[in-house]
Amino acid sequence: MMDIEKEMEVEDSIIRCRQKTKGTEKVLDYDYKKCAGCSICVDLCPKKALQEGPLQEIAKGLDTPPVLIDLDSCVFCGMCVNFCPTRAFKMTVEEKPKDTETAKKASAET
Amino acid sequence: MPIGVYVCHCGLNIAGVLNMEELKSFAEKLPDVAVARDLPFSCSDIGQEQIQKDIAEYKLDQVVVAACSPRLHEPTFRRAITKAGLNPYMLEMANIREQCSWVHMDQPAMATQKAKDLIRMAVAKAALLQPLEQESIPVSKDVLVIGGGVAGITAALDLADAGLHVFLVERRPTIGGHMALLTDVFPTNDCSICVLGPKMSEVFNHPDITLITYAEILNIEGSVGNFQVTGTRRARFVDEKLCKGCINECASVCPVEVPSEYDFGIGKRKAIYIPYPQAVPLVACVDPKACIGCARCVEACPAEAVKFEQQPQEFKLNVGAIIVATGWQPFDATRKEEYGFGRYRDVITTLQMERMLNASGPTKGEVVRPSSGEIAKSIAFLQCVGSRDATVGNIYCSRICCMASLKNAQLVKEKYPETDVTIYYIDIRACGEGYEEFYVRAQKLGINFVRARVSRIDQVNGDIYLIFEDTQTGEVKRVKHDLAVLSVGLEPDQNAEVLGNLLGLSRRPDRFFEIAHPKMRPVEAHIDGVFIAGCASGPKEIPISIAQGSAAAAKAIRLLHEGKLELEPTSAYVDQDLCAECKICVEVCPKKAISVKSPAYVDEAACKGCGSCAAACPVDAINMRLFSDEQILAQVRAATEEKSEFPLIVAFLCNWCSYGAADLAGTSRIQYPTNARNIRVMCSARVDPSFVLEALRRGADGVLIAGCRLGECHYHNGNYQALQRVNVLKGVLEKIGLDPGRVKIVWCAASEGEIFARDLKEFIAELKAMGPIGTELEKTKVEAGEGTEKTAEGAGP
Repeated sequence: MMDIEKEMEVEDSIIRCRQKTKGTEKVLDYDYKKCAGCSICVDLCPKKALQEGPLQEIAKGLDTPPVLIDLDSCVFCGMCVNFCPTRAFKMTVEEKPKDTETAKKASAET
Repeated sequence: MPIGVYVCHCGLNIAGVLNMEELKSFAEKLPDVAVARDLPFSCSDIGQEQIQKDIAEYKLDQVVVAACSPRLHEPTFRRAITKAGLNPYMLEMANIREQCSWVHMDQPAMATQKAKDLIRMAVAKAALLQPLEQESIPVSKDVLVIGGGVAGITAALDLADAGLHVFLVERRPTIGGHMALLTDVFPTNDCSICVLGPKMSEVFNHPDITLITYAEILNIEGSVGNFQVTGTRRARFVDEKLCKGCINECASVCPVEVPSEYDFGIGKRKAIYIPYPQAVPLVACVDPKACIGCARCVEACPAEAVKFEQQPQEFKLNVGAIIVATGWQPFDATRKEEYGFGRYRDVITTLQMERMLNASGPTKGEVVRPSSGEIAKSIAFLQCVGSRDATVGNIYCSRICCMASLKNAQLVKEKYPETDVTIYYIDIRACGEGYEEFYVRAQKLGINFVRARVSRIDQVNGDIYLIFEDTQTGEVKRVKHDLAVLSVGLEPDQNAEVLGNLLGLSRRPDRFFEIAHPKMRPVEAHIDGVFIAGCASGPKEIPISIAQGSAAAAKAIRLLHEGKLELEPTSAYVDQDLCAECKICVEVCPKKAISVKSPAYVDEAACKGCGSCAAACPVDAINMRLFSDEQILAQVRAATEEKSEFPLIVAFLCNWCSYGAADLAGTSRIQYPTNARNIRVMCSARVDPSFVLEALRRGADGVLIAGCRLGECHYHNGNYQALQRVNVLKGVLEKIGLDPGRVKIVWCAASEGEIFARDLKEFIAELKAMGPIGTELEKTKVEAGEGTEKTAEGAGP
């Protein structure tokens, strides 16, 4: 089974999720200042990894993200990115140059 | 043109109703008849020898046999007269059994009168018969097998081992059908996949089988010997050549889980999956409805076989024969709402039980209550769910469910001797080799049998209760069980409907595909070169499906092994001097066999003889070699020569469906009045409006045209053309002052004998209300116009 590493960091208003596998590194940025709290992404997420935050309090001025991300559930499919009307989500996919050693291993296995 | 007429007793089948002596002496006096005899069994050796002797002695040119349907014995008598030196096409049959003696059993006098008319019509046609030569065409020796269940697999292997190339097309990603999903199978209780698995891989590795899975047939054209088939291979999103079938690398990283159709909903699979470990081909497949596109599998696959950019691929085949083995689908148990399937978790179906008992199934062979996951301690099997049940429209017995439940009950009892197992049944049907012994074994194992059709299942506090009347004691009971297993019946696979329409297969009232004869031709369809095997033609157990697969293969081999085929000389031909080059024929031809190279030209190999062009040609430049205009008109005139009853109906029946329906009414002994004089034509589109007008002019009270059901025409759209012509004709009748209701067009499939009889009775009632032909002319006293002189003669009686 393929190894999947995930990590999350916060940078100002951006919540940055990262998924590293042997071939790619996917970065999902959620800029909560851009988020309007419409919850389209919450309804849409196929893994139910997104959850509504305290929307009423936020409306009254609380400074906290309207959408909470469950990193364990997220599979970085990018649906939230494609449907977000305010473009609060952004995803970059970086393909790692092919590691010759792992490629060799793979061909030996098969 | 001396003609011999042979009136067949068919034992008492005909002689028991009709007056044979009268028919014989009637036939003797008909014009051109040199000899007429009545024979006890004309199809017997003695009968055939008598005909052959007469051909020599009386120098007969044509032979008329008044006996059963030409669909049954025409080939027999053609062979018989060929042996005596006549051309095989110098034979005409009068159908006095299926369409006379068997359907008019209570009216012997009227039936004899009708039989006389039928014989007179046959003699009139016979006088005009011409010798014809059969044409031989080269055929493809490849065979298409549709459906990769056990019947299709058997057919494919038998064909390929005999040296014919096979294309096996399967809708799902793997072959194996339902049998591959079962646990042990009755009556030997051996493991299903252990016996089927090796056959599946044999198919995959056979050099003469091209396996096309996850594919659909889009179109079928052509006919026996040369079918052109178009299909599409759906995108698997996995390269079949690259995938190594490692089973878990891709699926283990896939984040999406959906209910598995291969576990009938009780297990789960991923969006990228291999249906089961023994799947053939052992290649993963992405379910585009479930996939969320995260592309983890793309990365995880060590062989780089996952290809999201894959597109569906079209394929084209040219095959000589087609074997339809499309199988069945389980009855949807949610339709029996009273059993709560889909609402109560502990109510499951036989197929879910099969998967539970299967060691490689979702519960690894444990029989559990889905609601709690605990081993079930008390199990009820409910028989006949969706079978023998008019409330859901399935009155037929699904044949395998009794044995399947006996088998599952035994497996449960063997694994958990303490478990209480009860089978609720209407009748136990265990007829087959070793089946009764199997039933006795179940009784000895301590399985309870209660004769009851369970009326309802209730769920109270998570427990399920069966409510039923025990019909042996008369008590109404309410019994608690841990698990209820619904023995769902078999229904025809809905996905096969499109295919059935493409091929023009007819369906029985139970919606399964109909075979050419319910006893004598168990694997042949009504259409030449098409065979049906396995559950596509009705519920069957595995050994019978296998036998049918082999039988269908043998039939296909017999048809194609020489690489050539003798064709009936049914084609159209053009009188070049008459052709006006209007191109109407080019448009109506369903086989695109006519081109106008000034004048029109018929490609006789492509022409299938429906005769629509001959009916459409405005200058009568096109005629048919079989069923010519003159012959049909001679039949019409003979039918109306003596008007022996009212209303007198001239009926044109299409060879494929309605003539078959009329024959079936006979074999089913459906009784109806004697008024119709049937004329067989290849297609309802063959009926030239001039035939109808001639019949009415000569005093017929009505004309019935019967074709295949709309959308099911053997020649694609002939019945629509017939409908259009009848509509125009009705307008013409109205103009000349006749009731347009005197010409009627009806549709019936070959399986609808009852409907044919019903439509005919209705028409008779309508005509009775109108009165004899010409009544309406007298009533309205139409002044002399263009149309009235045409009907003047008919207005007489």
